[in-house]
Amino acid sequence: MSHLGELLSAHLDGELSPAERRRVAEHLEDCDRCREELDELASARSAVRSLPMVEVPASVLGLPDEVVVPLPRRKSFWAGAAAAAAAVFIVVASILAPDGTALTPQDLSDPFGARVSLDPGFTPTKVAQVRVATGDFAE
Amino acid sequence: MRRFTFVAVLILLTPVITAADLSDYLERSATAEFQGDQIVTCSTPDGVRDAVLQIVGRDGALVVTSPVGDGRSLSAGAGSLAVAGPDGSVRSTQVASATDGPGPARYAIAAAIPGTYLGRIVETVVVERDGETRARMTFDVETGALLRSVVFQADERVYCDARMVTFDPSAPEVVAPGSDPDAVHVLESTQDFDLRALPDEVEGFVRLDQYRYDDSSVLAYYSDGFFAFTLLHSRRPVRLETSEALTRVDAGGGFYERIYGPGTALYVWESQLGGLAMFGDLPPDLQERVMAGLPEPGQPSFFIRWWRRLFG
Repeated sequence: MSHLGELLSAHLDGELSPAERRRVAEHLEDCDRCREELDELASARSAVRSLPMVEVPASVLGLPDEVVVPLPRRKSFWAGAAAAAAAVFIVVASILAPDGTALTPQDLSDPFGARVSLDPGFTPTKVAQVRVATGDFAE
Repeated sequence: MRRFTFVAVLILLTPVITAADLSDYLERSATAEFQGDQIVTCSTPDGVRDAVLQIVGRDGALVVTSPVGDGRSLSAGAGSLAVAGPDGSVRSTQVASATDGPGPARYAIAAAIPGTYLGRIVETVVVERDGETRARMTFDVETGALLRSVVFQADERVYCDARMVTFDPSAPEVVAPGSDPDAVHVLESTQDFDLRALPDEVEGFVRLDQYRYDDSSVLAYYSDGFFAFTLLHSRRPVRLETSEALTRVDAGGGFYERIYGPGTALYVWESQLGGLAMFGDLPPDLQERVMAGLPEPGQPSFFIRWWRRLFG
């Protein structure tokens, strides 16, 4: 069974012939889908018709080359502000953040010397070398 | 008679294959009591490095000073190392816990040769690692003290020669640096860090322990029973603050920065996994082999570097 399609819209607009109206009415009695579609069309139509009428400004009608379409300024402002804040954060954080962990030779030689003293391979030479590695005793 | 003399001389000159283990020598040396002056000379890829030191061994600890230094002294033993400055300040590091190492089992004594050194009766042992001569160590027979240690590269070139030039088996009373509780850095063992940058084993060096270094860094300790190194891995980039000239070594997609001291090497580099720094007493050829098994130098992308810099 074929559905009514475009005939529904014409039916609502009162554009059908008596024979067509009769056929549509018979079809609607047996077809749930077309009934639902008709209800939706009718709801949409009444919603549109309930909107207030607005007068078009004369300048728009008379001088098409002077039409100004306003930008959604509020939305643009906040988006821009957020982007600017992010940029400022990145710059400030990059400046303030330490440039990595700063190590001195002692930071590594001291733990090495402490731990190696527990090893079976521990000898005076190792400790001496650790001491020298700090630079204090270098010749 | 002539034949008997020949055999006797031959026996005296032939190195004695000893049944003693290297660990026996090293353990005895670690507790030896003595005092002496030592000269260290090392031929490194960055030139000759040398030093003169005064060493006292007593009560299982070693105190090292320098006749040419600024009055600083260092004491090490039993998992602790303290450095006293000329102004009386003391900086100490203590290891809270440690895993028993593999021992020097990887190393074998190829020969033990009796002789004399500085007027003392000594025994010189030749130490091999995987068939390569790695060290020749001269021990005082009476005290067990290590009087001379020559470390070799794999091609048998001398890397370092640390030799006592004076030796006295009577150790004086020494005052080891005290301890300032506010200046003690305690190395606590941790398992919380991402250890991907710290392999379990590399070139026969086993990761024995890992310690929390700071909030963004972990310090691992590796040993093959004789040589050892620490490897620091930081989630942040690392850089070295030193007045010494760094040698830049290009490798992989980046570079290492390196300082050789008399018997030690320090490397710092950036890798895809974060900042890394290594300090150890490996001969240069072993050092290179180990470095090849660690995360290679490379510059992470700008965003990753920026992120690590901010958040670690």
